[in-house]
Amino acid sequence: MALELKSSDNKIFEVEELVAVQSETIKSLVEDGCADNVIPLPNVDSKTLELVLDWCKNHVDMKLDEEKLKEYEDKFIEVDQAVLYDLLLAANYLNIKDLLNRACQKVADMLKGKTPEQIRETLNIVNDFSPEEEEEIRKENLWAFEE
Amino acid sequence: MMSRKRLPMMSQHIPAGVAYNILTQLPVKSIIRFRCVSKSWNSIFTDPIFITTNFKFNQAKSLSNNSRNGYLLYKENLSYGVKESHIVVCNNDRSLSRVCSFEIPSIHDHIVGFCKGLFCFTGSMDDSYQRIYVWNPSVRKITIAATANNVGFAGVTLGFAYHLQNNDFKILRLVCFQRELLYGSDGAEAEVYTLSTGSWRRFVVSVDYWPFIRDISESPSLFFNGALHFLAQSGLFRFIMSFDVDEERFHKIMLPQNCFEGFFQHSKCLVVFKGSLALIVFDCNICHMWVMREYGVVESWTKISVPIKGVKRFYGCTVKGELLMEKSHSQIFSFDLESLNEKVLDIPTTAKDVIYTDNFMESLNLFDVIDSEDY
Repeated sequence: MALELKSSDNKIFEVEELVAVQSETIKSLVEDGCADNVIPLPNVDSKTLELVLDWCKNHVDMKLDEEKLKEYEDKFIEVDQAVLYDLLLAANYLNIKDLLNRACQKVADMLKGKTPEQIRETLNIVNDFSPEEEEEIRKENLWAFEE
Repeated sequence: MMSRKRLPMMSQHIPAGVAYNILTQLPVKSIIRFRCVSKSWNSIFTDPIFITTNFKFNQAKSLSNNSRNGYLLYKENLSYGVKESHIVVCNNDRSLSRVCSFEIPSIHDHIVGFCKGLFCFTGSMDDSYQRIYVWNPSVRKITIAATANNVGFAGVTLGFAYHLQNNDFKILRLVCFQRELLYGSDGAEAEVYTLSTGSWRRFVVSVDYWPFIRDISESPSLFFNGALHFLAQSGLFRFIMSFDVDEERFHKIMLPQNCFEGFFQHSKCLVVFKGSLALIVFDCNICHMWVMREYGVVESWTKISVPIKGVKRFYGCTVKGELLMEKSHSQIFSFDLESLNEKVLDIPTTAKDVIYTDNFMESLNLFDVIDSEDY
């Protein structure tokens, strides 16, 4: 059975139900019988929706081949920051657990090597520690600041 | 609970739940470092719920990660008289990845166990294993977890376990008295220490029809299937004594018939072999392994015998079922029981006090202990 999804920029995507219900959000709509007409997704643009649907389709197709799926996932998530955050928000909105976890892992990987100063800059966070308080935390865990 | 974060080139905020998910997936070293980013980040990272979520994430990672096996710890005497300890991880392809090298006070004379990211050690045998240390190498914190009573002349055995139901850790201390001279009978007492409450609870050991345990082997206890397992002996009867960590009760598991017959036996111990409880005995140039294919079912003990020459010491069994051993020429190698294939590991022959543990895992436990020795 096919479903119709409409992106925020009014593009219609025809998708097999089996693929679309990887999204818990869409799955609930189907189960509640609200999926007969076009399903509007005002929070996801067509570019992102296309990527998300590709993820979902491949997860149905490659379900039994763990290695192939892992290879696909690794390649899929190699996107630039802007696309990554769009995927993150879309996966959250559509409630696609494995995509959300993978995207979060990618962001974590991008953040992990940074210094606290770089984190604050990247994420626009204000440092509300006093210099003495910050120094105390650093002193306690010197090894974490070395390479 | 946490401030919304704005990311570059994005006008939308990341929802708090998503941000939390990202933070729990950071490696422990980064988490510790990011504590000083801001006060709200510090309070997230030190929150017990975050620590538990991160723990569960790391646990799932360690169970699914097929490329890693376990830790090997060893000490080396450096040329300028300083002792250095190394931790390496054994990978599936028998290569080693260095985790860290450091100078640490020689407290790991006797390893009690390793569970879910924490090591448990005691000091020397002289003080009846009174001081018990718990160490988390991923946050570089050691703490004196427990101090037991001095029991004078008695055999002491320790076990370290993870209590799944309470997400807590327990230390079991078994003391065997030899009171023949005074009372004409032997006895055993048990004490359990719970890490979260910091208290000991004492009780008497009775195992079915065998109320007295004369001798509990000093080979390390094995934590498996939610219980600690020991090789025990009462009179001439040898068996496995198990301690269920949740119920805090002892059970007896029968050993296979005739498993201890043989003239040149050495290194008998319990291991986990490919997910099953197993007993390994080295006899001359043969290694015998009995695998309990169905836990608790005596009839399911299955024997495997393999010729291996010149084994000096046995260190452990990897997740893939390879045996880690030391041969007479001080080289440590891994041996595959099925293919009979051996590979020498890249560990210096001058390495001392080698310890192998399985299930490599990071965690944030103990990061906040004050009364500890940092390094």
